[in-house]
This record gives sequence, structure tokens and C-alpha cells, in this order.
Amino acid sequence: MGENGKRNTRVGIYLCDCDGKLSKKIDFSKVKTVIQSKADFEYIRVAKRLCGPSELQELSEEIDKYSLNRLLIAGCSDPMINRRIVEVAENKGIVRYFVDFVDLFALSEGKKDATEDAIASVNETLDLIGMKADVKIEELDVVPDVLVIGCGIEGGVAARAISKKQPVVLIDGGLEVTDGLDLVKGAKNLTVKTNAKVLRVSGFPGEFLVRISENGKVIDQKFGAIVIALGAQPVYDKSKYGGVELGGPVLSLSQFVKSRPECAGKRFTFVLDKADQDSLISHATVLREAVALKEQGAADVNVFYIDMKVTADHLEQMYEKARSVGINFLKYVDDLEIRTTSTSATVRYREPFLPDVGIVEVTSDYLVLAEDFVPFSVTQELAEIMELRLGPGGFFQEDNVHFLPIKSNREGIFFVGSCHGPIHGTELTREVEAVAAEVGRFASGKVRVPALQPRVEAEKCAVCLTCYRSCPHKAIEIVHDESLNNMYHSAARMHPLACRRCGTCAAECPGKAIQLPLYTDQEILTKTKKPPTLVAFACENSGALAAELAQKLDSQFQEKFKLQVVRVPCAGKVDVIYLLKALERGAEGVLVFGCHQENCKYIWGNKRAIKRKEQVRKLLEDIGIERDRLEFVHIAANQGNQFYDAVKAMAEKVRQFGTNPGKVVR
Amino acid sequence: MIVAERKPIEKILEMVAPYKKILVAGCYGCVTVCLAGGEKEVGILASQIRMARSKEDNPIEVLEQTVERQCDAEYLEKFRDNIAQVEAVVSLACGIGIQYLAEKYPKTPVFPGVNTLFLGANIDVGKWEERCMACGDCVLDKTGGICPIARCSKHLLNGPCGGSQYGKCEVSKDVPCGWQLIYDRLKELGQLDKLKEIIPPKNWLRAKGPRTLVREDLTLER
Amino acid sequence: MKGENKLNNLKAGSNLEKVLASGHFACTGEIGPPKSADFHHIDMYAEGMKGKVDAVNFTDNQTAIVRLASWGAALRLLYKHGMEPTLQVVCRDRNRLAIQSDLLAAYAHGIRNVLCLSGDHQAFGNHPGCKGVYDVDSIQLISILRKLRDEGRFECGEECKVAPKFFIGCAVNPFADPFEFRVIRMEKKIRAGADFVQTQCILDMERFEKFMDLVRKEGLHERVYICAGLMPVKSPRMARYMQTGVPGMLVSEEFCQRLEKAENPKEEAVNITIDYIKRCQKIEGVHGVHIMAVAWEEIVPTIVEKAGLLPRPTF
Repeated sequence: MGENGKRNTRVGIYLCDCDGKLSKKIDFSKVKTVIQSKADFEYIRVAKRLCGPSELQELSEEIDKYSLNRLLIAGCSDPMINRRIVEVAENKGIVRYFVDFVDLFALSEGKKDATEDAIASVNETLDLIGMKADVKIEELDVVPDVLVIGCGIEGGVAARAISKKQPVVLIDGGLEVTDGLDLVKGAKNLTVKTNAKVLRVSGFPGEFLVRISENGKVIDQKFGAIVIALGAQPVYDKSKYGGVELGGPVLSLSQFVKSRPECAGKRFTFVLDKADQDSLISHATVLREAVALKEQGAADVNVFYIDMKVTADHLEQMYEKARSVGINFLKYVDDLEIRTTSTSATVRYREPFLPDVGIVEVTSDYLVLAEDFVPFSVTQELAEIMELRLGPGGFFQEDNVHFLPIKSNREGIFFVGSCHGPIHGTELTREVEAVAAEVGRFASGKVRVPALQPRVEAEKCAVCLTCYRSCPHKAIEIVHDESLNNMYHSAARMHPLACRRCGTCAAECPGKAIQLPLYTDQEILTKTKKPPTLVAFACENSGALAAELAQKLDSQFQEKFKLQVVRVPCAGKVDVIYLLKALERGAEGVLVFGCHQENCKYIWGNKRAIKRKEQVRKLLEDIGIERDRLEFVHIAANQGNQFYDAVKAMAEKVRQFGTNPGKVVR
Repeated sequence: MIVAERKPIEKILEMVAPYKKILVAGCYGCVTVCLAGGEKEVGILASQIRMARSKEDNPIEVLEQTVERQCDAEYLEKFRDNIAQVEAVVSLACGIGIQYLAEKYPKTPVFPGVNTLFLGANIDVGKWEERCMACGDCVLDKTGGICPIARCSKHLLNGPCGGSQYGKCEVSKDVPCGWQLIYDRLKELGQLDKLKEIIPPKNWLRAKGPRTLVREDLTLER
Repeated sequence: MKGENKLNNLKAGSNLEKVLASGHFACTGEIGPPKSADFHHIDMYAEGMKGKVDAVNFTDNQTAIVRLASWGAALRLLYKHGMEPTLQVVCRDRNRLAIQSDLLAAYAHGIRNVLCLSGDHQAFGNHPGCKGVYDVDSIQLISILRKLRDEGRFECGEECKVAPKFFIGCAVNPFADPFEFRVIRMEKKIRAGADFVQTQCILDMERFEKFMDLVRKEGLHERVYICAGLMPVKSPRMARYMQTGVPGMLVSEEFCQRLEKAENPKEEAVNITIDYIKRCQKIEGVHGVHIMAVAWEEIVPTIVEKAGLLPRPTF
């Protein structure tokens, strides 16, 4: 794979006779001879049974021997066998994308002699392989500096970890939370700015230009990556405690942690599970504080709880330790009743395990109440400035199974800690490690990436901003360069470090100026040149995997329904033209399989696909073709059954409709 | 930008009914930007025509081609080879491009594939709003940068009619009252006094007949 | 406005102008021409209003629905009934060429009052696809009429040998937005040449009183005759519809509830209108009332009589 962009395609062609089953209809030696007259490949041979272990071994060796980097396998189309071949190829560094199959059984069906068909099909596939671009590796200069926002504990931990490898600027984000600053004292490579807010972020990962106001002074600085670690804000909600006000003997947990009262000889009571029901933070904090109190000579420490959450491993140990040092854990079920005097607080509850005991009262010198966690008020503003999406409760990040907790909707901008929903210490440690590793890619000032982001043909780019606005990751810029060959000397450009390669932009482009490498329009349209009865465009994050599962459930499934599955990186890549073309070329029905509603890995690719489905349905309806020949199906990777059922339902539906009247006969 | 919208397919099918081979001609200018007549829309329309005709057992061959701009003769030249092969052309350019294409190829019937709607801004993906009516006599200096010709349903020049209420036009609750916008903006600019001026009846005549613009300082004498 | 002076210095000399100039509290009615080619209803309502009102407005394709031309109806009133019409002219349907030519004919026939309006948008009417003209707006139309009358020149500046001298009216809507702008706009209309104002129908008296405060603050009531528009509303349902469904209309809760609570809403509608007339008489700067009984023209004489506005002055 030449970095200089020179093509270096070495195709190996294997013609498999499937244990003699195919040679009845196909003259393999003739196919080989004719194909050999084409120069565009490296190696060709006829195989007897390529799926057998010895032949697979041979294949593996030949890949090395002839330095093959592309494979064309003509034979059966058993997907399980195909998978095995792909495995061998991938072990040898040939990605799935560079392994193509020709189904000789399908093309010889109903024919006496399919030799010519086989030749034509192999040739066509060879052309397709020829069109596939080399994957170029680009080396980009990046700024190693990282901006960490949030001077609380979480920000401090993150900044310290990151600063071991690269320079860090730690700012408070305009919050008055500074308890993490102790953690970074003396750290090299680390600058702290307080009373500092982000005003604007432009540019892309590797070189964000950030405008910061520090004590009212405005500075611009470049950062390779940005880590948001604002933490979450504890808020005491008295309605959860029957209206008990803070003050005197009653403290909120955060008040207590901030200024722990003199404890020798005093009695303390903590109440958990009234607030902060979803996270482990309060539990972890209370365990830690309770043990410390006891060790420092507190007379009596009680912890009220409904459900002791100790799922994280070291919490279990903490809990055991707490019990061993004599902390009283009191489970409650019903409501607690809290009464206070100026010097003490009493909790009344009904003992659930000992019915005879009934109502119990616990009086202590200090009553410490857990709080809820909410996002800091700056979250919204920061999200707007940085074009980040918010999720449930106004915290950073959406509720999306495809998202790692540290990932934002933009590359190069990460979350650590409770700013994306309250998390607890060990989770924090893991997140800090993950983020440090992510931003660590930029530490050397250089980064190598496969140049797989979409390409823009300037001649066709109308600079209409459709892609720019449709990009879920803010990965597109409009660049001006005299060399760009259109009237504007401008064109959209997908940033190699910001782009996640969903292909939404390519599908939206009204000028067809954008092509996503490995999934160009030409490749996809060539694949669907002669569609069988049904075509399914399947998202590789859900539909394509579900299709494989469906295949496992019934290995004849695709043949049975005459189904072609076309893999796309995201349903958002499915162009209106693909859908129309499939039907124009004779498919009876077309399905698009995308992820479930809020679970698109690329934010809104599935929603765009649904819109396009509606658009095409209208286009069909307008010319009197059944709109229901096109369907969008929400699916998850593990829903093989649902995939099967959806295909079956479509097969049944198109059977009832009869032949697609729009099929264009050539 | 000129904003256009694809014509309903039945109208287009009617126009091309007598023909067996046509060209769908796109434009990379305004109609690409407004998602009505770029290469993608050309592909969509071509597919739709082929399928519709196939359905009627009356196949048609549809060529597809898109050029930079249909309002410049040099770019229209690129269509020559394809137009020589076809019986008719459906142009997805704006009304200007369609006419200019027809003018350059007088022997081939040229049909409109879009309705040209207005001069507007692209508010967001899939949303356009009218901003200018090319009246030829701009009054934006008097009206806070908001055009009363384009944005008041009655093109009133001296303030809102009696149908303006709650910021909306009497025509529809979805249409903001242009004069409310003007009022708000001038208020923000501290220029409400400008509203007191009585703007006299407008000179709608910019030229005798269709408008032309000739700048002697720029014309090229070959 | 002092009556004596004005009476000696009339602009058009119409009955309505004389009533207002002499300081009487004016009272005008309104007839919507029919959607057909006959005068039957016009004749009927006109006879009823005879001697009860100072002038009768004829609407010009009201709500953008095709109706018998307002000038045709006005001539009928003039010739057949010997009463004084007020010709409404909207900018929606005619350009300045047509409007000026129509007004030459109207004046030659003896019409003396003209009310200049923008007109409801054509989208409301029964030909929503028609091309709205709006060549000039209502303020420009006022200025055209003034230029003809005072300078003897057409809009283009050319001389008009026998120029029409109209008593020029305009509408003012105190219930539309932006509220603060309504007074500015009224002042523009006066400056453009309006002699009298007929307001949008008042179904929210408090808002109107507030508006009149602003008008007096600007001294506009001394520069123009203001006639308060009133509408008897037959049914509570109608009132509620106007409250929510008609752009530029405000209907007070009190107004709706009075109708809703009434045993006989029609009777109550008359009572409310009379109450409102009496309230208007007390507002400084209100010089008369204009009663638009849309689709209920026959009630006008009753209202006028019960409100004690009879007899009407004659000159």
C-alpha cells in the first residue's frame, strides 16, 4: 500500500470447482485461459475444494508467496465458507473489503453451459477490484497539547494522568470548583488557569483553536484534544427527606466531605438511597468517610441504606472493612422520619428484619444526607460552544449503546467522569486511562491514519453546505484553494481525524461530489447491477451482523429468498439513488436495515435513512409503483430472527404484489 | 440563490410522453444547492422516468448529464453530443437555465423539470426562505435590512396592514409579519424614527419590458 | 376641532364632512354588496338606513371575495335613494392607473367620500390564486387622493384639469401589532392626507381607550376626525371565533361573556353596541361611530335609534 499513492494491487484469483459439482456446467480451464489473457492480477489457479483445511492452508501460504493483497474467489456462495476464507485472508492482513466472491452456482442455475457467464462475472468482479482505491496512510502533524476543563477531583486526576505524556492546560471552566488542584501540584507539563472559560472552539482534532478568557483576558491557543471533566454538582433536595433543612446537626454529604467536623467521641449517621439512586458515588463516599470517622475515634457511625451497592470490586472490600471496624449498617424499607434539635438529629424507622422490634430511633450528633447529582449550569453553554450533544438529565453524551462513555459526538473531544452522568472512583480510573490513551495518540506531535475519509471531487462540489450541515461529527470544513477546479475554488473537505466515516455526507450530496472510500457509489451500484429478488442495505453496526446471524439460523436463507445483502457503514450512507436503482434494475423489494431509534453510532444516520425511504416511497407512489416495496427496519446486531422475519415478510409482500412493474428491461 | 422545486412526475411524464430517448440535464449551480436539479436529482428523475415508462410497457432511454451552469453558453456547449442523440430534453435548471438551454438548441424540445420558486436563503438542510424579489430598487436602508417587498405578503412600504398580530402575517400563522420584523429590528437599532417617513409609490418599472443589464464600462468589443 | 371654521373651509363638502366639521357626533353605516348582479339587498338596507346615518360605506370585494363593485353600489345609493355613500377602495385589486380612473368616474358621478384600505390578502378569498396587485399601499393611496385634490395632479405629476376633491378616509386598527407602531402609522396616514378615520371594529373597549390615550398624547385627535368602528355580533359562537380566528382582531373576555350569558344574544348584541356607542361618546377625541353590521345590516336603524343618535343633522 504505497504511501505515495501509487497503486499496488496484487490480485489472487481462485476458481473453485466445489468438489466437481461445478465442472459439469463450467469449463474451468477455459475460464482460466480467458481470464489469464487479462493482465490485472497476480496469480490464478483452479481449486478442487478451497474450503478444505489443506487448501485453506495452501491459500494462506500463497498469499505470502505471491504477496497477494486482493482475493477473488469464484465458487459456491456458502457464507460460512466465505467467512472461513475471509478469516484466512484477514490473518494475512487482507481486510474483508478486499476479498470478493463470485457465486458460480447462482449464475449457472438453469443453464447447460455457464462458462461464458462465469468468465463475464469474473471479469466484472476484477474490474470492481480494480476500482477499489488503495488505502493510503497519511501522516499528520498534530498539536500534542491537551486542554482539560474542570478543576475538580476528576479534572485533576485526568490532567495529571495526561500530563505524564504531553503538555496539559487545566482550566476551571468558569466554575468555582478547585478541589482537584492539589492533585496536580508540582506536575510538570501542566499549566493551571483559573477563572478561565472556553469562548469558542474551531478547527479539528489535532489542531483545535480554542479561545479562552482567563480573568477577562482573551487568549487563543491550539490544542490537539479537549477533555471535559467538569464533574457533577451535588444538590440537596429537601423534599426527599421530608422537608428537613440543612444546618445545625444536619449536613449534606458534600458539606460533610468539605469540612468534616471534629469527630472524637461523636455519633454520626449517614442516610443513603433517598437521593442519588442511580450512581455509586454516594455509597463509595459514605463507606470511605464512615471508615475514616471510625478510625479517627468517632463514637458511633450508622449508615442507613435500602440497597447496598457494592458492585465495583473494591467497594465490596470497603464494605467488609466498614463492618469489621464496627459501623452499623441499617437497612430501611419504609420512609424515614427525621427530627432535629439544635444539637442532635434522630432518625425513626421500622426495622424490617425484626418484626418484634418495630419502630427504632437512632439519635446522633451529626446527620449526613446524600445528595443528587446534576450537571453544572455551564454544561449547556459549553455544549453549544463546542457543538456537543447532551443526553438524559442534561448531562453530556446521549443515551446510545454505541458510544463509549468517554466519547463525544466529535472526535478529539472527550468526557471524563461525572459530567456525562455521575460515576464512581474505579469507573473514573478506567475512564482516565482510556482518555489518556486516546489523547496519547497525539503526544508525539504526529499521527498516522488511514486516509479513508470521504473524498470530494471539487468539479462537482457546489459548496452548498449540505454535507457540512448534515455531518453529525462536525468533521467537514469548506476549504479555499486556487487549485480546486470549480468556480468558487472551494470545496468541502472531510478532516481525516474528525471523520468517523459514516458516509452520511456522501448520501446527502446533491452533486454526487462525495465518495466514501471502500463504499463508493460506483462500487455499491456495481454490486447491485443485477439484483436478485430482494436487496437489503444493511448497516455494519446492526443489520449486516444480524444478517450473518440469520444465515447461521438457516444457511439457505439468502438463496431461499433470493436476497442480496449490501453492507454499508451506516444506514445514513444509503443513497436515494441506491434504492431507486435497485428497483429500476429489477429487484422486487428493497430493505434498509439500520440501528434502533436512538442508537445510531453516527447520531442520526438512521433518521436520515428513514427520511430517504419516505422520499423514495413517494417517488414510487407517484409513478404507480407499490410504495411498500421499500421498507426500513430498525434492528440490533443480535436480532438475527428479526432480520429473517423482516426479509420473509418482504418476500411475502412482493409475492403478493407480483412482478415489479418498474423493472427496466435491457 | 435561486430556489426551485422538482415538478410533479406526472407533469414531466406528460411532457416526455411522445419520446423514446431523452436527456435529463442538471446544473451544478443554484439548483444543486437547493437540492432540486444537481447530479443526484438528475439520477433520481431519470430512474423514475425509466421505471414509470417501463411500467407502461413503453420503455424510454434516458441519458443523464450535469454541467456547471445552464445560464452560461460555454457550459451549455457540453450538452451538444448528448442532445444530438435525443428527441427531447428535461432540464432541471432554474427557469433561466431552461430557457437558455432551449435557446441554444432550437431544434430540440426542452421541458422544465422544476418549478422556479424564489430568490432565497438556505436556512438549514431542506429549508429555504424568500428574501428578495429583485424589484430593482432596494429599500433595505429604510427598513432595517429586512425587505418589505419580499417579506410582507402585500409588499407594503409604509408599515403593517391591520392583519398583523402576535408577530404573524394575516395570511398564515406560520408566516412572520415582515413589518413586525422590521419594527423589531429598527427598535433594536434605535432607528424607529425611520418608520415615520412616508415612502412614495414605488417605481416598479425597471426597464421597458424584460430587464437587461448592459455595462458599457465592461462590455467586450471583439 | 372647532366647527365654525371648518364648515367654512370644507375640503370636499360631503354630508359626512359637514356633520363632522359642525361638531356633531357622526354616525355611519355599512352595506356589503352582494355576490350577484342585482341591487335587491342594497335597496332594502338603504331604505332602512335612510335618515338614520350620515353616510353608508360600501365594501370593496370584502375578504377578497368577488362582489358587486363598490362604486356600482355607491352610485345606486346616490341615484336611487338620494343618500350619501362612502366608497371603499382597496389596493389589492387595482393598480394606480385603475384606481385613479375609477375615482375620476366616481367623483364625476357625485361620490365624495373615499375610504382607503390595503385590503384583505387575496389568499383569504374565493380566488386565492389570483395575482394580488398592491401596486400602492393604503398610505400611498391616501397621498394620491390628496395630491389630486390639493394639487390637481395625478400620481405621475401630470395635471388633472377637473380634479376630484374627496373627503379622504382611512382605517386604523388599534388591535393589531406592533401596538406601539399603530399610532406612528396613524400619524403617517394623517400626514399623507387622511381627513377621517374609521377604526377596526371595537370588541375590546379597554384596549381602544388605551389606544386613544396614545392618540391624544400625540395630539392626533386634533388633526383628524376619528370614528369608532362598532360591530353588533349576533352570536357568542361568532364572538369566540373572532377572538381566536381572525387576524388583527381583539375580542375582550367581557364581550364574549356578555353574549354567552344573555338569554337573547341578539338583543344583547344590540345592547352592547349601544353601550359602546355611549362609551365612545365620552372618549375625548372620538368624533363619531361607524356601525358595520356585517350580514346584519337591517339592525343598524334600531341601534341608531336606541342609542339616541336621532335625528341626524341636515345641511
